[in-house]
Amino acid sequence: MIVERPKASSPIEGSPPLPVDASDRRMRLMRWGLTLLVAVGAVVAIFSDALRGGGAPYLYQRIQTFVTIFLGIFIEAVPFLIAGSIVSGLIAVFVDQAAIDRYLPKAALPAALVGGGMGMVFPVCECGVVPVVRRLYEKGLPLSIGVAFLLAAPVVNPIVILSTYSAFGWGPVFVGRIVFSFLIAAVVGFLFGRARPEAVLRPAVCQLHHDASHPVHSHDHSHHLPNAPVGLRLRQAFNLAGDDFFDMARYLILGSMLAAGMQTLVPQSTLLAIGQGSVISVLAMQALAFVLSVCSTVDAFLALAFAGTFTTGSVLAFLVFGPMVDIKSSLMFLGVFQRRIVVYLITLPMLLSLLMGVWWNLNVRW
Amino acid sequence: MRAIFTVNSQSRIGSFDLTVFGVVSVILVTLGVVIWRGDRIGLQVVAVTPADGSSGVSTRSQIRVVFDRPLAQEAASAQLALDPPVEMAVRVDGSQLIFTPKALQPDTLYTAQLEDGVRSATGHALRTPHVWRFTTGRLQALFTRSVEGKEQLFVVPVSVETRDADAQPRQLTYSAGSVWDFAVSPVDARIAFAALTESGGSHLWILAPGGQPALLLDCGDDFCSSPSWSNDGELLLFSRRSAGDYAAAAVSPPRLSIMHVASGERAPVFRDSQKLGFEARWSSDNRWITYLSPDFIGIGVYNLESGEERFYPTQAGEAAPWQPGQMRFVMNQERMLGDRSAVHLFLVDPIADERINLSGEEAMVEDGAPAWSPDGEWLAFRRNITEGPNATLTKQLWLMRSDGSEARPLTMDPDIDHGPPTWSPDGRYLLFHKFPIKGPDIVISVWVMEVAGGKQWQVVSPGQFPLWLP
Repeated sequence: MIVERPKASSPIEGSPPLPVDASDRRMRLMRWGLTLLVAVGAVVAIFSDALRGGGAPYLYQRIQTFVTIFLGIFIEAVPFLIAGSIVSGLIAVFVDQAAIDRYLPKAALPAALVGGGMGMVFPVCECGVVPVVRRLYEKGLPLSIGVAFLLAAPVVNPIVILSTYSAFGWGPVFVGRIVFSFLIAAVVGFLFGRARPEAVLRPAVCQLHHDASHPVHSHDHSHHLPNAPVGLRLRQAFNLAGDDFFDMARYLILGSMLAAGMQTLVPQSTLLAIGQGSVISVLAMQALAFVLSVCSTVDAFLALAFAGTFTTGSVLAFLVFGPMVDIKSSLMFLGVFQRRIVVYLITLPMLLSLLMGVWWNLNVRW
Repeated sequence: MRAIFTVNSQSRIGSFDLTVFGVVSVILVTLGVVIWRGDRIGLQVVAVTPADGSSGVSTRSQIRVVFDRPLAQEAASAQLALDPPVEMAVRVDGSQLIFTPKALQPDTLYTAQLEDGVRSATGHALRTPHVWRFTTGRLQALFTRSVEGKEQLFVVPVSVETRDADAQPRQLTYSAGSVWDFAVSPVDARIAFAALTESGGSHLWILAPGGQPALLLDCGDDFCSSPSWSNDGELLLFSRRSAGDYAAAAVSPPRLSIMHVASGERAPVFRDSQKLGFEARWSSDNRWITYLSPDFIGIGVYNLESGEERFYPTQAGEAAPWQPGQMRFVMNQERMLGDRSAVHLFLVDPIADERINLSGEEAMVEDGAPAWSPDGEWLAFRRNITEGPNATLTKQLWLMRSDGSEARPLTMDPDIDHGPPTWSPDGRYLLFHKFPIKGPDIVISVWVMEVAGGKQWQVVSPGQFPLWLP
């Protein structure tokens, strides 16, 4: 009864095969060329710094910094990814997709609002939420709920609410973080209510989402085994959790390396140095949140260090935008969504939290 | 970007993408409107010191403006205008602007106006000028007088216009033991003083203007003394001698401690707990101190931040005050001129390690108790000439420039020993006591002298060791 996940390259049923022509080859070449250019640029930057800053010892120091930051991010995120993968496996096996159909709203607005609050049921951070969302989509979860859940859950969950309260206490930052995270996630989720799954999800995820949403389909990809013994179901759940973990871990590793590379090349102090003023401070803190890729369960304590010197709006933007989108989670989104959708999922929360932060700075006294 | 949007035929730009573009446009327009409307809250003044409408303000007062958020460093260029005009230095401290006037005039109504445009670290600006008024207090002399065998602090108004010698002094302390020594805060006229206890120890007390003495530090049986205020009035250096286990008289040598007056937190000054010191004086930037070092028998110079130190030998045993606004201090040191000894004043630059003899290389004099004028240009000091026709047994008051030039006597009365001089905040008057050495009635009295004209008049009698208030 164990069903293999369709390969990522398998086409959506009914859709024509992808044309592999000269134009596509050119695009692929361009992509590789761009990647190579960025890599060479990074290496040149590191080496030129090394030449200016004292040669091999300096280079060794930079590499050590990179490794330390990478390990810091990765080790911090892995437990949450494991937890998210386990939840994902349990959902796959124990959650009946009929229940999703029955209990979750399909209209965009209520769906977005429900999605925004689902973190209270599934307390996961931005690393753990991605496999959970992917699994729920495979169970036929409406797009709106999934997107709202994806963006809101890293903040609107009991653990992060508690950690934010511990850091900031009851006040505008605490309330603002929860309210604005929920609102922004709901707005973006509502917007995705207008999208078709095949235009948003990766083909493999979309295939299963389509099957779950249309049960008349000829064969069953569901992992839900209501009549199997519990032991077998748990084994199945952990098998799927392992698959999910390794599937997502490659994005996590890549994202962590990218974040570590950015922090090595662009020191935190550089971002902070430009970070004054009502607008620039928000942009700087958003950039910092994106680059640092700190887990949402602990980022409130980091933000507390900026509270005295940075604008309240920018600290809020750090706390709202960071958990929704950062380097590593952006790459993990690629395991669920198509590339341009990932761009939307970065851009929309970024702009909305920028608007929130700037408005707060210019209109709210605190 | 084009590659992102043309990955395959399923993901070509459709209605959803157009919706996203529309929403992004709306967000950008809204953002533009929010930025165009600009700052709707601005920077707010939370409090000012001296407060609006306050009177009896110390002429040494700093003027503080407290804002609702931390200031940008550029706020140090803020313009505060006082009417009547006064020169001021300004610095930023967190969410405060601190102006240090050169010299406020006593008994004067000041109108302060802080110009708009002061910016916070977060870019918020003060949108309208902030105006307030305060009145400085009359000049007063703080001095000690014996009451039933115990020295107590008194204050008496000093009228430089009428030169009224009949003003009635007011007793400030009713200590069970004598007031041992005292110091006035440079910024707000709070008085820190050490008073003996019945057990032979000495506690530190503080007296705010118009208030009652409050215990600042209960030293138990220990002997706390020689308080010295930092220039911002926030820290206090003092020396402490620990009482022996057997008798109050058997106290240890003095060690320097530092106290944050507002919180009461204190700590030893030196990392080495065995290092001794007393009679400390602060440099203008509050980073360096001078102190008397019994270990080394001389003046110690110590950087409170770095721990860097220097020593200059002397057996004169007098404190070494720093020149206002400069990294130099003045100290006295005994010298042998042939078979006779003299005590000369030296201007010392501890950074450059340079010393200038201010008294003159061959001068047969004993100089001491140097006091800097508020602008750091002049030194008033005590001198007795030990040889020649002008030799006296008593100390006379002298004046000279900070480089030792233009030295001239202010008093020349061999029958009177003159006490340590102190400058009025505006640098126009000196306050000191006179100790007649010939009877029949030997009474120490407090006097004021106009520096420019040399006129002097008695303020109160009896009284000694006067300091200016407010």
